[in-house]
Amino acid sequence: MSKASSGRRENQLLKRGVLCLAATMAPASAAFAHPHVMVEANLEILRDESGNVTELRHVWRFDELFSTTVLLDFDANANNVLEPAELASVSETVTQSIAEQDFFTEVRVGDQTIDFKPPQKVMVDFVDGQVLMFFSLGFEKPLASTAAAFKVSVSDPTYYVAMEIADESAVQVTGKGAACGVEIARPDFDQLMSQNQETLTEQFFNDPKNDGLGDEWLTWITLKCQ
Amino acid sequence: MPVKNHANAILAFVLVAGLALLFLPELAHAANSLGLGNPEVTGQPRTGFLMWIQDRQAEFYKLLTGEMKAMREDGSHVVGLIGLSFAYGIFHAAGPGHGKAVISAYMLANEVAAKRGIVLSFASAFMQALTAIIAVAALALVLRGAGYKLQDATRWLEIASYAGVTLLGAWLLYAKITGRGHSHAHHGHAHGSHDHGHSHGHDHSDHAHHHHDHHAGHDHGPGEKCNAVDSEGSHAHLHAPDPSMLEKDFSLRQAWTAILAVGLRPCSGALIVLTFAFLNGLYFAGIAATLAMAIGTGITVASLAALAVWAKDAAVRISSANDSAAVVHRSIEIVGALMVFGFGAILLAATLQS
Repeated sequence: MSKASSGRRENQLLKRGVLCLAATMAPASAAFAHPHVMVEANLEILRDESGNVTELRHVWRFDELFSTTVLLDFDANANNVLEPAELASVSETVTQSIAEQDFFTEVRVGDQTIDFKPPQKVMVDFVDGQVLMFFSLGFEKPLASTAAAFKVSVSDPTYYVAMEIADESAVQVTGKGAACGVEIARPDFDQLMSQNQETLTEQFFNDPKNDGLGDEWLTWITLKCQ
Repeated sequence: MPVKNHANAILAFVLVAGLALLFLPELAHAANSLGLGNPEVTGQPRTGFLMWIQDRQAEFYKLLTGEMKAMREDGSHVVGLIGLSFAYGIFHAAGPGHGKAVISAYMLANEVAAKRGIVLSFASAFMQALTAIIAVAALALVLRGAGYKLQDATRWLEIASYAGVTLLGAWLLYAKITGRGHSHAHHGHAHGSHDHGHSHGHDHSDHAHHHHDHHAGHDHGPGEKCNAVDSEGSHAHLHAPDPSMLEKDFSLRQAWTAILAVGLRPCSGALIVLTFAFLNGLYFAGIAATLAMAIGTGITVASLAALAVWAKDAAVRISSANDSAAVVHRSIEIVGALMVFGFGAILLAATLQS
């Protein structure tokens, strides 16, 4: 009898162990995805004569710690400044790399994903110990800015870089057309987490390659025109 | 009772498979999205959960970089910096996630003592800190302007590390399958229902020696009382005493291989902090922060190593109720060895491709 009951207890213990493992699994896995780079992202939404959006201009400012690692690796003459030739070398590497991540940019009109033209190259500068990057993404066909559902998201799909749009002043709408402002909608992670608690872990393991994550998890910049 | 046997075997393997799953995302590995800075585990699917984690971690990274920048003006920020670095070590579970994966799998394959796992975990974490300090000191102070990149140095260290892990895995696998140096002469009587009476009074202060040695000369019979509460006690009687010096060296060499293989790949967080520190002349702060990260990392990895031992122990204990303990034990060890080999091989392949 003692053997049987001890066996049952052990089984329970083991089951609890499995549950406990499952509980630790998700956060432990997620710990791989930590940003090591912070970027202050600024965006200009450019419009043509008729007020349609033709281009997105990115201006990114990298944090000082990450910037020193770039300085260390690209400062060929060790003078603590990145000069044009050195900056060109950074540019070449970056242009190639972020092209593979769609330039960290997603554009939607309604439910439709809008393609854009890649930039010739990403311009790079090094000012006051911080790496700066500038580039433009043009649209094949100008997009009506009055379309209520025009929105842009700026983020690194791999999580290596944490892209941050500080507030509405980080986004400018320029060119002709009606006066436009922007609205920034940030995901409410706590709410999303509690809504999705039950399905999240399941999703994560059943479909680890799932990239069909809902737009509600991203920060969106929406045009608001009069 | 074959049915019960099966049920237990399945449970045991669920437990081990759970541990394996813990490390699955490790396999998504590529050069980072910018092509700048240190290699990073990336290319992961965009899941809501990860987005949430990233949000938290970005805040944390901001605090850490803020404190580091403040160091330039006011040295008293070193206290906050050390505290944050320690927390960074714990939560990021080592920038190199491979540490916890390899050490835990190694524990499954080769160890029965949680204590040794703790020592291995801290030793490999400090080894990582040392690698980071040496790499950044060499490139930022000695070889500055000589055309070497930290990015490339890190890549080579990473390749060496993963090659080391692969070799360790192959070595363990060979040892486990041929029975060399381990796993022989198990006697699988039921341990779950009665206690054994050898009390290990001695302290394992020399953690490097092989666990078989402790039990040389122990003779125990049913009904005696067992005082050993840690996993060593419950495992001890699965192994035949074997005090041979050869085995002791064998195990010690494997442990060192594990420490070196894991420790060769520095933590990216440490590299960033050290680079900034060294280029701004904050040598003490950089090294202190890196060591604090190592302590934090050691704590996380040690917990997982202990969990691995506990899981293995539980699986063996349960199966011992129906005489399959030896088989389960041996199987888990082989799975552990396979995991070490698998991580090494896949990470090596991914790194060479990127």
